[in-house]
Amino acid sequence: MSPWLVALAVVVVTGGVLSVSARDGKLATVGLLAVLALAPLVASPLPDVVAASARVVAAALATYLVGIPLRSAPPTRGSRIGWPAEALAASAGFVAGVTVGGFGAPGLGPAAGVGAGLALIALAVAPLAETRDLLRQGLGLFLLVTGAELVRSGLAGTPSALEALALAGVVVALGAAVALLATRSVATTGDLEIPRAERPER
Amino acid sequence: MSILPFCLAALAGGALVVGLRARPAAAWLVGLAALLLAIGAGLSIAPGSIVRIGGMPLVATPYARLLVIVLSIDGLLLGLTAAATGGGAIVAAGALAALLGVGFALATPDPTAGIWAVLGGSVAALAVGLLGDRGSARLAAVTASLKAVALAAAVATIGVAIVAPLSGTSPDSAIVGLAYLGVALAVALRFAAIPLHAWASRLGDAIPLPLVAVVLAWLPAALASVALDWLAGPVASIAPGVGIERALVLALALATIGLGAVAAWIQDDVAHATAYLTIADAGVALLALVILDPAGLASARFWLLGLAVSKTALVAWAVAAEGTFGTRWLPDLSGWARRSPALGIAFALVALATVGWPGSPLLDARLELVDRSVEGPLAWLVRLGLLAVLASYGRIAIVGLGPLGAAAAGGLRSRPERPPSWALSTATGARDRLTAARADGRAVWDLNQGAVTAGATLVAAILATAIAAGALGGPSAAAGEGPGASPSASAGPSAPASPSEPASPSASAGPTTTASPGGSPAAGASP
Repeated sequence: MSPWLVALAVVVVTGGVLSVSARDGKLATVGLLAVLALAPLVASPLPDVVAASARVVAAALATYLVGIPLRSAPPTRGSRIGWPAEALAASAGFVAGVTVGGFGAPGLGPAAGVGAGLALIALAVAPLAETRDLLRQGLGLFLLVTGAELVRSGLAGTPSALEALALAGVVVALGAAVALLATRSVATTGDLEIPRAERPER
Repeated sequence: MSILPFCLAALAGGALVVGLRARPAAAWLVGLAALLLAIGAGLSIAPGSIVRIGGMPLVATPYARLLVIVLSIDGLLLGLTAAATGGGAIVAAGALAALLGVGFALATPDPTAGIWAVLGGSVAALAVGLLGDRGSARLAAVTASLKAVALAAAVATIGVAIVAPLSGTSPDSAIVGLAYLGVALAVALRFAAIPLHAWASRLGDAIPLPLVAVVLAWLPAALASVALDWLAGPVASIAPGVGIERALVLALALATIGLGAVAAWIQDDVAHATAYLTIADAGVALLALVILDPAGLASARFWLLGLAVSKTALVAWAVAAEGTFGTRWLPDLSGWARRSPALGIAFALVALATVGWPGSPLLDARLELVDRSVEGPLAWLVRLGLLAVLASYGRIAIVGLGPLGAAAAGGLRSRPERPPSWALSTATGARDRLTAARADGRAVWDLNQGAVTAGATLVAAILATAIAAGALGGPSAAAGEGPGASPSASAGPSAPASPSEPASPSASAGPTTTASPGGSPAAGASP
């Protein structure tokens, strides 16, 4: 396993931890950008230049869109369990993924990809279980999708250019959706939490 | 021509409509024009044509071609019906976004790319739906929907990836069963199958109702088609080894068919009833995932086509009813069919297109899906259960034939009307004539909203019935091969045989168009 790939995977996971645990929206988007821009590179062989560029551009655009409503939004609660717990959960996912590597046969891509993917999915659980903080739920969506993509590239090999194009579209669409949700929430309530009357009953 | 112009038309049209949303009338007209362009681009697709992007092919199979054409027509009709409730532009943009996802998903031989395309279309449609609500948007409902569609895509992607390293080997049935279960559950979640339907329960309150057809019928049908093509490969070869997993999916399908029909029957809100009727039909689509026999693929694909078209017509009817009578509360809609016979006829056709009739290809496909997935006395029970949805249709029809209520009596007329006078006839000068023409146009529209929406709904219902009857080459298109079967559509670098095999980007960076020799084996008749 290439040490560079492992290092890159660790950076991606660190970006994920930062995005879910930061209270400041700007810091969270920095973490998100690291995840979205670097995740496509955790692959062996590397994707071709055009595909990788499309993903980086999509990552930048999505992060920019998400950042727009955050300029006027107050800080969020951040992670409810704190960044050390998030980091531990991510580490557990990473180790599990690297150890497993494949099901019944070694994966066609790097085990670090499977590890980073499971780590991001582990990080996504808490934000997705959230029902109030729109930013965290949005970040959870990004982490879930990117995590699945990493697991896929670790098991089945580098995505094709067509798949990279589809993923770029998904990332931009998610960015637009999260930005719209956050904008609507800030316009309605002044913060990023879903209005109390709307929250689903538990 | 390949499918690429269609995808580009959908993309450009959707983006343009969203950009013009501050001017609703202009955005709506642009949206309708874009949908007309998409229909034209769809009609010009040569069945079997291939275009390569980055070395990977997009294959315009006859099934993909027919589906994008029919759904483009449905998108246009939804845009017309939605205009009466003020959301025409948003609906057009959402339909265009979904069409891009559907076209891409059905044309790519790479199942993972198809899954992402469906997700992209779903997220875009939901995001566009948010634009339509300027009041207190149902943020929780849209967020829940985004989570559901993302989770479905993630699970399906991992499921497909699990078996990728096992190609060329004798796969362990436990591992393949796990992958199969993941993909099947992802499709079930995407269809909001019971008990995975909670996320869709308030969708109709959060986004414009026409987009519910897009999110709950079009895009899940495309995902199911991708899943079926994938299942025909690695899983079908070891079908006897995934008994428990298939039983679970079968239980899910039967629960959806039965409980979906019951849930639809007890709804007083026609929008909610429409959603549950869509979910009940999705249960039949889930039966297709149980079969795991390539011989059942044709019936499954045809059912998916029929589901998408008939449920679009049903949603169009619900939208038209709300626009015409100002309410979607069933007890208040007494006499709706008597007030608007066009809507009544459309509703009857939708019911016919949903259930089918003896000898119709749609009914044959439903029954084949049941017979191939269930055996013994249970098959007869399921056959009867398929008719349970008629209770909901019957209830709505009985209300429609009842005495005229206040809402029905005050509803828009469904007969075309002319304004009492034309401003254009007395206008002089270019500027005055332009202003007068706009005023006349507005007057014609205000007087004929009911007629337009009823007419569009009727056309959608006729289209659904025609599809159910096997018109437009539906059965032969469904019986054709998937995008991965064409010998010229060889997979690119997404599944190398060994980790050391380098990626092989195509020599040409841009798209290249190829018409496959001889076309697909079962080229459908041009509509």
